Amino acid sequence: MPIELKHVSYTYDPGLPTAKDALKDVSLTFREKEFVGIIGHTGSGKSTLIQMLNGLIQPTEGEILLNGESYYSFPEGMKKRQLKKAQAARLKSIRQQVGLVFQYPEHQLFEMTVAKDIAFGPANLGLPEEEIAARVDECMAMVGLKPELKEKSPFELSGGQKRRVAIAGVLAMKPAFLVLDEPTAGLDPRGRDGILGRIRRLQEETQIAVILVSHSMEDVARYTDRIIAVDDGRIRFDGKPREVFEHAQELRQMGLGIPQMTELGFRLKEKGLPLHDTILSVEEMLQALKEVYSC
Amino acid sequence: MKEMVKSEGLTFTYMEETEEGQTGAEMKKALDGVDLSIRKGQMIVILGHNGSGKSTFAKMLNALLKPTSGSLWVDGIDTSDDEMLWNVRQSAGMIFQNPDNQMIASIVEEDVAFGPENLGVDPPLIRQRVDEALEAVGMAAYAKASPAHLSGGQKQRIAIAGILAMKPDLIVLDEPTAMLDPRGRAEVMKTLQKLNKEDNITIVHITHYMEEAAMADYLYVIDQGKVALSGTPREVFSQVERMKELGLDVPPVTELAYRLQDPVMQEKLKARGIEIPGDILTVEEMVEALCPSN
Repeated sequence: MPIELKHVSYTYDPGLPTAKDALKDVSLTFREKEFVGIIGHTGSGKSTLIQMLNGLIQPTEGEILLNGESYYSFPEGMKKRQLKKAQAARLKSIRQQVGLVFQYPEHQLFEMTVAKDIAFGPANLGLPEEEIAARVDECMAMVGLKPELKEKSPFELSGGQKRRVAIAGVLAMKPAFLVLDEPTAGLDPRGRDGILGRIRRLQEETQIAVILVSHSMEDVARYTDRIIAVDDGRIRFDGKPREVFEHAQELRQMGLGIPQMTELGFRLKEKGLPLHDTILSVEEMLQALKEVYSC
Repeated sequence: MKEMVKSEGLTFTYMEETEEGQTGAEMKKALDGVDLSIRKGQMIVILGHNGSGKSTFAKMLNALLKPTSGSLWVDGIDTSDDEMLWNVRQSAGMIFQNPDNQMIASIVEEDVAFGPENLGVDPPLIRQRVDEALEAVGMAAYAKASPAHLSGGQKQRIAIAGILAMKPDLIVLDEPTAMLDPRGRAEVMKTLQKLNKEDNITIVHITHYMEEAAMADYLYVIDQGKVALSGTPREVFSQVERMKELGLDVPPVTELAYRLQDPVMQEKLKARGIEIPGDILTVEEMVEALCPSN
């Protein structure tokens, strides 16, 4: 069940002096079961892109499809009322299948208890009570929240816990795609590794596809299988982390960077050390050095 | 007077609120007997996991919170002294995480002028201070721009300019780069280093980015309201295990240096004339250690 973007463009304020092209002729496929990282500086177009996946923004040009079905085109000749109904139904289904967790999602918690907050989405889907309760338990476990927190107010929890509640609320819709906009911003190293580690395990175990927007090159190198680099509304790189991070200079020009170990690898290569692949982590660097020095 | 900040037994307790919004019986200590001293002109980084008490400390430097017990002096002023409140706030400027919450005017220079206006500075002098402040953060070209059209890093630099226009001796920044992209983070860090080195402004910077902490003169690691570790970045980060116990991290190169301390590795490397110190902080140092230039 892929999400396909075909020649998608988006212009903010079209026709006005403030008009800005946020996305320019982007064609891209997000496949199921993938763990994809999206990188790009603020204003590169990546937020527009992920809001499009969730049907929050409609392309000005081009087409977007989920499982081969267009988000916005319907058979011609539909009556106005019929069309409206069909549009609403499709958007609802898209938002169930493509779950979006915004930046600082803890600001969006509002229910009296953790359990009620997580149940909000599935309750709106009109699921039976038992099913909702089961999903709440399941999703709390998925994000590593202890069952005894269920009846607590979300506002009594720590920042990292609140964020987990927000993610659990989206997971409770059982989406095929989980889109996360900087889920670790402002968290300490332990909170960051806790959330990303959980999401990685979840993706491996349940086969949910994850699309992670991040400003941390270390995190995307460590957790994702594919990186998409967005710059000035276009896709500049799309490939395995090892391939994308080979382009150190271009990435820097785009206001991004590369992981510290990748940088070290390049510098050591320049000095004549026979390192083969692009190195992404401390672990890989240790391995490579062991080979070089035959330890 | 060489001390910019001094604390003795600094403690802050608060009543934890119960579900109904009433104050319960449980007293929590956000800070618990902190003794530290920061010299004028230092660049200090404070590390600690979420909830360790570091933001409470930052707010106390600006007298947004007052000590429950113990004392805190900023530039020799006791922050518990109500009459000196505005002197403390003029002396210690504060920058928060979200730049959007700190912008109040619709034009950059008006935003920067807000502080000195409130201090009652003469208008011609305000003009001069605004221009100087924007110059100092490298945003002079944007004086007439609308903050809404700036990037996160630029907005954060405007917020810093707003503080500079009040002529502070100390700038306290609570995770100023948490919401920024890599370029924005680099811009803010460059600005802080410049203000510290060239204008001799004392910086207290709270961050979760270990690469940023590596640039400090001195680090304090706060845990459960107490100073758990302190020292130069080299001294603190070389304690890799301890840092991980505290829920923190070290820069990847420091971790690599630490892992290379393994005796078998050390011996093999030594045989080739290579010695890896355990307290490496930067990529340059690691390159130099692995491939000595001579």
